[in-house]
Amino acid sequence: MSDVAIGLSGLGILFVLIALRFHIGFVLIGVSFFGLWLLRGWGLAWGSLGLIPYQFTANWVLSSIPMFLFLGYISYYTNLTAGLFSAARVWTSALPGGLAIASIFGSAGFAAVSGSSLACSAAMGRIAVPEMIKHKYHPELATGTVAVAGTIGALIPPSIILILYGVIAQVSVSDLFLGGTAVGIMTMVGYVLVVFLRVKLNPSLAPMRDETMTFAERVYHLKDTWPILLVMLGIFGGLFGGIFTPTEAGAVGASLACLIALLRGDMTLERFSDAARDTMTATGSLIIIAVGASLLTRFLVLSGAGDYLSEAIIAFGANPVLLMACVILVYLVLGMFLEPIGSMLLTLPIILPVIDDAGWSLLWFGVVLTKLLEIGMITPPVGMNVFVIKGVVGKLVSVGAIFRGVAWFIVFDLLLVVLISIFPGMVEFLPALLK
Amino acid sequence: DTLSYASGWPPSARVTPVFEKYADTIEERTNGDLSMKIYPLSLLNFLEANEGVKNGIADLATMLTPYFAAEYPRMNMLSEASSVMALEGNESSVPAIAYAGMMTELVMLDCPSCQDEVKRQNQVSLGVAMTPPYLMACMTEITSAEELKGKRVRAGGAFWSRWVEAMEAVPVSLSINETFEALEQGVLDCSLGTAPDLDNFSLNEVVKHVYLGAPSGMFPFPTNMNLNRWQGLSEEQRAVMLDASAELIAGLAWEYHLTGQQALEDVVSGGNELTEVSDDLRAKSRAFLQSDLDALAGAYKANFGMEGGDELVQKISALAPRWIELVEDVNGPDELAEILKREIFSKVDAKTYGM
Amino acid sequence: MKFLANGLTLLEKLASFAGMACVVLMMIHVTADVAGRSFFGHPVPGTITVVSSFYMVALSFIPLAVAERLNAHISVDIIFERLPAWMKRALVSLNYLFVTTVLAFATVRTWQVAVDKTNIGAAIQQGTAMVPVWQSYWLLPVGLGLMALLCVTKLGLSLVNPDALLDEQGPKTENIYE
Ligand code: NA
Ligand code: NA
Repeated sequence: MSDVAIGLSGLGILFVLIALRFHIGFVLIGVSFFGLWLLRGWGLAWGSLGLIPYQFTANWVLSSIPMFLFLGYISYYTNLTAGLFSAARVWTSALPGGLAIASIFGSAGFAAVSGSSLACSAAMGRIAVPEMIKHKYHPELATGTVAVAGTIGALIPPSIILILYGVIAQVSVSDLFLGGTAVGIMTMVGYVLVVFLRVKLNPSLAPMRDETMTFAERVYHLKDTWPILLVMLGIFGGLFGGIFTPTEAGAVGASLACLIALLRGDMTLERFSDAARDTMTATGSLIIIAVGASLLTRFLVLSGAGDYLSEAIIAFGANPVLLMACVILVYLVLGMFLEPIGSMLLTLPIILPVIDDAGWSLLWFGVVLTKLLEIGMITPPVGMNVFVIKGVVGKLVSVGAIFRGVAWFIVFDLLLVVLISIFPGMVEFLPALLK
Repeated sequence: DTLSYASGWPPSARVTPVFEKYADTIEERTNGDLSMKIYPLSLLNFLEANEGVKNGIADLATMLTPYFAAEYPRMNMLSEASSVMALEGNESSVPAIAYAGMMTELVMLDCPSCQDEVKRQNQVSLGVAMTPPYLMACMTEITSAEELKGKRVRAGGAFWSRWVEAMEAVPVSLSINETFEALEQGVLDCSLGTAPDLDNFSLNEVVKHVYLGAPSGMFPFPTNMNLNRWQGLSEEQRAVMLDASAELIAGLAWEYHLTGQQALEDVVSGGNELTEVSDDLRAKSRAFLQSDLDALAGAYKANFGMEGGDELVQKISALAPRWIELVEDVNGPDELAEILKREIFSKVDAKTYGM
Repeated sequence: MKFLANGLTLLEKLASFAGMACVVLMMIHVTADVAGRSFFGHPVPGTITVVSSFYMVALSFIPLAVAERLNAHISVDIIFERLPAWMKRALVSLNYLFVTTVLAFATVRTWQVAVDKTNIGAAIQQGTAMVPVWQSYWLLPVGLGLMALLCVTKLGLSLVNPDALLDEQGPKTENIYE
C-alpha cells in the first residue's frame, strides 16, 4: 500500500466510525495514531501521541475560548439579556412581525457576549418564543426566526469558530472578528427583511399588536438593557482603549458580567456553578476534538493524502467559480450531518492549501466558512439550533415545522454567501478600514 | 532515503526558499541517495520542534532554544552573552553574522558540554544562525532614559525582561502574534524585537519611532538533527550534510540580515522615525549589559545547576575580534558560507562528529 | 464492585470541582493581570505561562470523564438511529472498546512524558521569572486515565446489559455551545 493510499483509507475509516456514533475526538486521535504507526513506524506514532495533546492545548490564544464560553453562560444563567428583548419588542411594535424582528435584534445583542450560536438560540428561544406564541404568531415563523437568529452568535464576536480558525490558519483573530461583525450585521438585516417580507405577503402569520406607546414610554423601556450594554461597552471600550488584548477580553468580560449579575442580585451560587460546570464540559469536549484534528493534520501531511486531495480539488476547480461552488457544496453537505467545529477541523488541513493556492484571502475565507458552517446548524436532518428550539417549545411545535420555518431564511443565507463570494470586499472592508 | 525538515515559519516566509535550496543541495551532492522534504509549519511549530525532532516526527528542525529553558541552558547562556558585541562597541555592520560564526564555532569545535547538552535531546547541532540585534519599536517618542521609565514594554525573553526592569520600565509578556494589536490599541508603549520582526509581524505598519542601539542582544536559531538519523547516515552523506549546513546557516543569517535592512528602510519610507537611542539611555543600557554579562554564569548556575559558565563566556568573548574581522567585508551568502566552511565545517570530522 | 463504582464517582466529583475551579481561577488571574498592568504598572508575573500551561491543560483534560458521564462528548447520531437494535448494541460496545484502547495508549504515553518532564524539571521562562511547568504534564495521564476507567466500566456494562446505554443520546444537561 502506498503512503497516499494509507492516508485515504484512514480518512475513509474515520468517516465510517464517525457516522456510526463513535466519539469524534477519540476517533480522530485513534485513526491518526494507528495511521502514523502503519506509515512511519511505532517511534513516530508514539512520539506524536506524547507531544501533540499537550502542545496543542497549552496555548494562550486558545484560553479565550473557555473565557468567552463562561461569559456567555453567565449571561444566560443570570438573564443578563432579558431586558434587551423587551426593549426591542417595544421599539419594533409598529412593524409587521415586530416580535420576530425583536427576537433577531435580541439575538444579535446576545451574540456580542456569547461565542456560540446554540447559546444564542437557547437564550432567545426561552424568552421570545413563548411571547410570540402568546401573540398568536404562526409557530413556524416564531420558532424558525429564533433558530436562525442564533447563527448570528458565531459571526458577531466573540466567536469560538473564528478563534479556532485564527489559531489554525494563522490569521489575526481581531481581523476575523471585524470581518465577522460585518457579515453578522448583514445577516441580521437580511433576516429582518425576510420576516418583514413574509408578514407583508401573509399578514396572518403575525397579527399586529395593539400596543400604542408614547416615545417617553419607549425610552423608559430601555432601562433594563443596561446590563448587556455595560458588558458590551466594557469589552469594546477596553479593547479599543488599550486596556486589554482580544485574548484577554473574554476573562475581563466574564468578570464584568459576574459583577453586574451580583449587583443586580441575579447571581446565586447555583447559577455561578452551573455556568462554570457547563464551561468546563464544553471546553473539554471541544478541545479533545481539536487535539484529534491536530494529530490528523500530521497524518495527512506525512502520508501525502492531504496534498493529494488538495491537488484533486484544485484540478477539479480550475475555474474559480467552479472551485467556490465546490467548496460551498462540500460544506453544505457536511453541515447537513456534522457539527460545525468537527467539520471545520476535519477539513481545514485539506482546504486551506486550496484557498492559499487559489490566491484567496484567508481572512475572507474564515468568515465565509463560519457562515457556511452556521447554515449547517439549521439545515435538516441534523440542525442543532432547531433541536435546541424544539427543546424549549416541547410538544407545541414539531421539528419538521421548525425546519419549514427556517427554509425561508436559508434562501437568504445562500444569497448572502454568493454575494460575499463575488464581492470579498464586503467581508474585508471593516478590518481594512480600522487598520 | 528522504529526510524531513520541519520549519516553524509559514510557507510564505522569506526563509522558506533557503530551506528549499538546502534540500536541493543535499540531493544533488549525494546524487539522489539522500533527499529532503521541507515542511513549512505543516509538521511542527516552533514550540513542538524539540520534542518533535527528539522523537523523530521530523528529522531536522530549526530549534528556538530559548523556548526550552531547562533543556538548553548552555545554548541559551551563550546567546544571552551576545551582548558582548554591543559592549565591544564593534564597528562591524554585521554583528549578528559574526556572532552566528562565533556560536557555531564554539558549539561545533570547542564545547564538549554543549555537544552533550544537544545529545541529551537525542539531537546533533548543525550550526547556529542569529537574528540581528534587538531594537526598540515605540508608539511614543523616547528621547531620554527618564522617558522610558514606567513605560509598558513587550519583552520576548528573559534577557530583555531583565533589561526592561533595569530601565525601570514595566516588562509585559505577550505572544508575538498579539503584539501588533497591543501596540495599536495602546496596551503597549514599546516592543523589543529584531528588525526582521518589524516586517514579519507587520509592526512597521503601526510603530512611530524605531530606536537602534538598545537593548541589543540577539536571538539564536540553530538547526538540529535527530541523532539516530544522523548516526544512520553514511560518512559520505554526513560530510555532504555538514557542507550543505554551512550554506544553510549562511543563507539564513544573510536572509535575516537583508530582511532587517529592508524593514528599517520601510520604517523611514513610511514616514516614521528611525534613530539611535539617546546617549544617556545607551549609557544606562551598556551599564546593564556589563553587569548582566558579569552575573550571567552565576545566574545559570543558580537556576539550572550549570557548571563552567564562566569559561564559556570567556571563550565566546575571545572569538569576537577574529570573527568581526572575518565577516566585515562579506557581501553575500556564498562568501559567508565559504568562511564558515573554512573556519568551522571543514574542521568537523564527519567520521566522529555526533557519533 | 459497588466500592469501585463509588470510588469512581468520587473521583469524577473531584475532577468536576477542579475543572470548575480552573474556570474561575483563569478568569480572576487574567483580570488581575490586566488590572495590574493597566492601573498599577505591575502585571501579575507569569500569567501567560500559568494560564496556558496549567489552567488550559487542566480544563482540556480533567473534565473528560465528567463530560463522558454527562454524555457531552460529541458524536453523530444520524445513521446510528436507523440501524437495527442488535447492530446498535454491537456499535455501542465497539465504540467503548475503541475509546478505551485509544485512552489506554494515550494515558501510558502521557505518563511517560510526565515522568521525563519531572526528571528534567521542565520550566518556561516568562519575563525574568522561571515558571516550573513539569507538574502540568501530569494533568494529561490523570484526566485521560480517569476517562479510561469510566469507559472500561461502560464497556463492561454494555456487554452485561446491552440496553442500558442504548438510549444515551446527546447531553443530559443543556449543552449550549458552538
Ligand atoms: Na458571538
Ligand atoms: Na445541518
